[in-house]
Amino acid sequence: MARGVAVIGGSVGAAQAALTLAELGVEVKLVAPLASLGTGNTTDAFSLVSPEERLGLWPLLLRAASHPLVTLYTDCEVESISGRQGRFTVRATKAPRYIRADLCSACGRCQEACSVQLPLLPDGRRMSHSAVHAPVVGAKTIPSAYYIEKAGIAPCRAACPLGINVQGFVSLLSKGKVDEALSLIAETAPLAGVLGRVCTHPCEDSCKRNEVDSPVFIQALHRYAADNAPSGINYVRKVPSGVKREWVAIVGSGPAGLAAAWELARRGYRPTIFESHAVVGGMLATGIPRFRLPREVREREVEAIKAIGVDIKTGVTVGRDVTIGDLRERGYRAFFLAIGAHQNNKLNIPGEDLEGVVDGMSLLFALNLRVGTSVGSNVVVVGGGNSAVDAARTANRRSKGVVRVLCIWEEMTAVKEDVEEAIREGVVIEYRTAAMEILSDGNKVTGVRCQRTEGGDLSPESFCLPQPIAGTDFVIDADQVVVAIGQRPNTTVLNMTWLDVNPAGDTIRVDPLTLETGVPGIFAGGDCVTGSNNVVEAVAAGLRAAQSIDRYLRGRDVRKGRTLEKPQPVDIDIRERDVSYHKRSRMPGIPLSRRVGNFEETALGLPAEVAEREASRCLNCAMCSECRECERVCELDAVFHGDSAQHVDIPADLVIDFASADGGAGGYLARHETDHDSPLPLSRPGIYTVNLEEDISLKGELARATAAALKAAIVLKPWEAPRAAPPDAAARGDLHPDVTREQVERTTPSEARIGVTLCRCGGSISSVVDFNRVTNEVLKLPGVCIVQEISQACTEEGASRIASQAAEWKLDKVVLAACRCCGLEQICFSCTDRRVMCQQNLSRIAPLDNGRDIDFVNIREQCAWVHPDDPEEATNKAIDMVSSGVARIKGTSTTTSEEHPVAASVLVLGAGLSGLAAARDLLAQGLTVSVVSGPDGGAAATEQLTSGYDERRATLLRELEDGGVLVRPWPRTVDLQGSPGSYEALLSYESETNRISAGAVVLNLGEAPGEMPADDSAVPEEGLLHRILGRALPTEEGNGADPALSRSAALKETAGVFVLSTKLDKSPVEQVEMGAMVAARASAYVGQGTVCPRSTAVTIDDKLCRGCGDCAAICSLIEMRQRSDGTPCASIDAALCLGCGACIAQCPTGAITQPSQGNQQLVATLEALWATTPMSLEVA
Amino acid sequence: MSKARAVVFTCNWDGLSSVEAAAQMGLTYPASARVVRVICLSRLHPGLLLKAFEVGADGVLLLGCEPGKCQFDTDAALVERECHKTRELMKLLGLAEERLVVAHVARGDGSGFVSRLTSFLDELEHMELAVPGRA
Repeated sequence: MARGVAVIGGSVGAAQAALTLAELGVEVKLVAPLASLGTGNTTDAFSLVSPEERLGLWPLLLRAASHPLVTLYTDCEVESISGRQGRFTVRATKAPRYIRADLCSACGRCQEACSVQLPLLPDGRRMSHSAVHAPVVGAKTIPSAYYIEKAGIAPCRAACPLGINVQGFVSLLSKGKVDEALSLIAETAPLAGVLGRVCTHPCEDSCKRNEVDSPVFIQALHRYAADNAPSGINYVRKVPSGVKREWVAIVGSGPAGLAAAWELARRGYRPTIFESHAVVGGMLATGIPRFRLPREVREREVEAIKAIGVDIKTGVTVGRDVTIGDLRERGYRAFFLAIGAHQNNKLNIPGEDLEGVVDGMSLLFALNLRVGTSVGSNVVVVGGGNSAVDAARTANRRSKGVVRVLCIWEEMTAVKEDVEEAIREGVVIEYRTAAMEILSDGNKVTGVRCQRTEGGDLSPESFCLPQPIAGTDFVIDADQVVVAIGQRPNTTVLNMTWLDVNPAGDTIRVDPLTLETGVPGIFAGGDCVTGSNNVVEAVAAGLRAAQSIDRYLRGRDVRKGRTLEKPQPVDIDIRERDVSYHKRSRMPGIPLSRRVGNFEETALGLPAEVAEREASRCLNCAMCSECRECERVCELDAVFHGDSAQHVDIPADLVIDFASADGGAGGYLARHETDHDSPLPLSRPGIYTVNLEEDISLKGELARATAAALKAAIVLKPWEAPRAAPPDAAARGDLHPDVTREQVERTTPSEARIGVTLCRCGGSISSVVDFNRVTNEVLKLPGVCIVQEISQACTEEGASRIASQAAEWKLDKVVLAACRCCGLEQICFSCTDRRVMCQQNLSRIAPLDNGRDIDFVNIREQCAWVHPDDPEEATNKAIDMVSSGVARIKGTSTTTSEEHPVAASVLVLGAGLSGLAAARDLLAQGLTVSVVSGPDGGAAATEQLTSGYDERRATLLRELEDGGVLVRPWPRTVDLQGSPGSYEALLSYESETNRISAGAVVLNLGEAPGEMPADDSAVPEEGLLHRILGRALPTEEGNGADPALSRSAALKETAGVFVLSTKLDKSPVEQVEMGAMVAARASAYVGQGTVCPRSTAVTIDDKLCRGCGDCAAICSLIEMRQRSDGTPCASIDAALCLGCGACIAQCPTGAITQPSQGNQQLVATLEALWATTPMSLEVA
Repeated sequence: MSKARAVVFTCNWDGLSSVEAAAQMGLTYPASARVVRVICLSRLHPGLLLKAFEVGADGVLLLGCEPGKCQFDTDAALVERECHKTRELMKLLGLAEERLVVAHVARGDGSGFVSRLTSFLDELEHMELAVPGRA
């Protein structure tokens, strides 16, 4: 069995080659590099043409892509071609589209829902588009399936220790979707309200806006989501099957413990937190002042965590009240130690144990939990970190004097915004200052002796502390000194002698990857492992530990596939983006005057409009933010964010390669060294490279592509193999097998049982049009038995639903209200791949004769999409449109169209270079070929011929002679008789008349020697040939996609007469290619075996025709004949009719009619146009 | 929203492509416009055009290919001739002949179609409704 031809390239030429091969009966794999066919590469003529011309090529592209013998592979970059002729394997990498092309109906709801706007700068105009969009923004494509633009992981997301999808929630907030933003955050981490206030936000440090102005205020947005989500915090348990509800004990209710408990509960476990204090939250409660993190916020978060099944026992100190051993006995299977670091580090300077010296934690604890403590007038806080700032700000609220912070570094290591707030509140910071001694009056603190410092390095690699400079002593007066230089864990309280503790910082030793201690089943994390650190790292540790515990309890490898490395962020060049300056929003705060003596939260949170504006500053570094709104709105489940690049191996006998023709497509094909003369060098046997010079015309490209395809077809000889029946021709059964044919035929239109199917189009129609109301109204129409609603009509499943409805309800006729607008076989500029697919599936699966048993109304583009703001009227209109479809189909009668056999012979009239080349190529396909040379003369033209013309023509003549083809001279008259498929040409010479039968006719019109002059007097005016030519559109060099070019693909040839007009100045190579193009079309026509009239063909009722001839006056295909009684009447060969219907308008008696748009159907359509909304006539 | 009703007869080719393009570009127009597709405008005759008025149209817009772009190479004068005949009859019926308009649009020109249609609907609004007494 033939493996067919792989056509590599996405250009119009590639599509033309694929279509040619398929029409000749060869299986084609069309491998396009981009997301859509026809958007091509550098040598692609299509990308250079205007939108109007682009649409003109549309029927060709669509026919190629939807031909049953063509398989289209988009997004495929070819890597290699291995094997040899007859056994090639084309290996390609298919880039992820993130949308399943087989399901997407291009309804555009994802695009509407997309929260990302990316800049687009066409011709300097500033526009934007969403991250999910049609493959070419603003143009129709094949496939029409959408496409998501992704560029890796955004820097903010990569920097987040929790891996929160920062860009995702920010983009949602930019669209005002607060609930969705909070849910997205809650997929990764709990405690949004806490983190939104106290996180050290490494995300902002990595924000690309730093390179433009200042980072997006991510922390404030995080808080905004937590505080303003209308539905509040709702954590979801996603319990995977097979998880046993094991007990896990967590020691400590700080951020690490809470996060671990949250994650474990989400995974189906039963965590219990043991907290030694009476309050829950660890440092969140005792260490962070209330004016930064209000109690209510903390409690709200704790309650939400408890709500998913976390038990918290306060006032229980593990190690003292209960031991790990006790808990093990009670059934706890795993343990997480998250006891934090509460033991203050000491300065180790004289005077540290004086009265009036306190540690930062005790001060914060006392003031925060209102246990009451005195604060001095002049306070000195020693330390440069967050707790020092917190202690200073806290003390400042109670102190009557000055609060000073002594920082040994050049800058505070605390979060910048908090330091700024502290300074605004009046805290004085002494930089590069070390406390050397606390002075006293012998009893109470009086001041601190300090020295300036120098040196020091904060970087983790070469950390060293600054050193005091001798002789720089000075004294700061103080009556209270707060030491806030960090804390260490107190592990002794745990009473776990076997615990491996780091002597340097009293921290617990764990495997950093898994947080497992030396004892299996016991994990530790947070400050008790790292020493005093920040909240976000503690939460990260909690989540990491929970994952370990889950694996441990399920008996899985705790280490496998995990890493401590941060994900690699996408490296974007912001200059390539349309970045404009937008000022970062400021966090509004309560006035300074209200902060004294008061612990009210200082930062007020962003107002809604500020939050949206701030979120809109995001540059969307990763393009798609993975907010997954598209996934949520897609009713067809076509969105697939997990898509990835795939290898595709495509078997082929031969390869036609368009992609590497410009030499820049990776060079995977060896360039042909010598044969530059030929546009089709063989780089190795079986691989044709189609070279297209940059200035090649569209027609030239199409001709060359067809010539290449024909060469391949001549090698494969598909006509020698029995032709497989195309799927469309699958035997059509009866509509309902249990009713006999006679009964069906007897049903008169008025009795017809009609079913209606409404396509939701994934919600894009049904979100505007009220389907319930349409159903109720349409069911009232006489003849309508059933109305059904389906989600997608263009898939196989949709077709099956329609078929089973027809069978179940014994339907005669079906109306489908979707996006398809007609049942004709033509492909117009409005058709889409999904509409073709819809029809192909229907004709394969549902035994309905398109146009006769089934009719279509487009309630998508002609209703739902253009009236989205007026659902009421849109629904009325949809009812009317469906009603007119029902009215129309009632009037159609089942007529069988005659099939004409097509003879395997071709007559070539005109023997110029093109004509002879066509004859040669037709002969090579085993067809019987007759050639008639044009009249002698044309001597004047000979001088204009390009060099090589005569030589090539002579060679072709010899080849034909060798093939037994006799070239006849030009006759006195030439005409055709018969019908398409079985013509008989009459060649009248002086002495004799030759009769040649032909299935198809090729005319080589032109001025060169041997060519047939246009309008030659040898063709009699009343004859069939002249009449056919009267409505043929010659394929001559014109601008872009002219009607002749689009017609051949849109309407398909039924007459079998192919006109080829050549120009003298065309090079011989081009002339030969033009010949090949016509040969391919003629042989494809002959190869069909039979030809059917178009379903739009008119019929003329002999009884009604009065012989006025008005129809024949406008259409040369109509012939005026004489009846046996001598009266004139009009007649037409249906197989010739183009189906425009102009004759119907001209006919005064109504003798001419057309099945799809007869007067009856059009009147019925019009009468139903306002059926639901009738005119209300007021009686005067 | 326009109260005037219009039947838009469009040919299958450049005419329909502009109707389609309008939808695909996200443009909107009043639902009182109803599109009726024919294969070529040359198929229409006075009987059908007047039928549109009979069923309640205030105006009829014919949307077809620009001259020289017809897939059937039909002479645009043919359509004009049928329209002329129709307008003569409209005069007799007391219908203003401006209610029947032929518009040629460029292939795929969605905004061109919408602006032509909406201005036509506006013009109809300014005329009296075709059927007296209709709200």
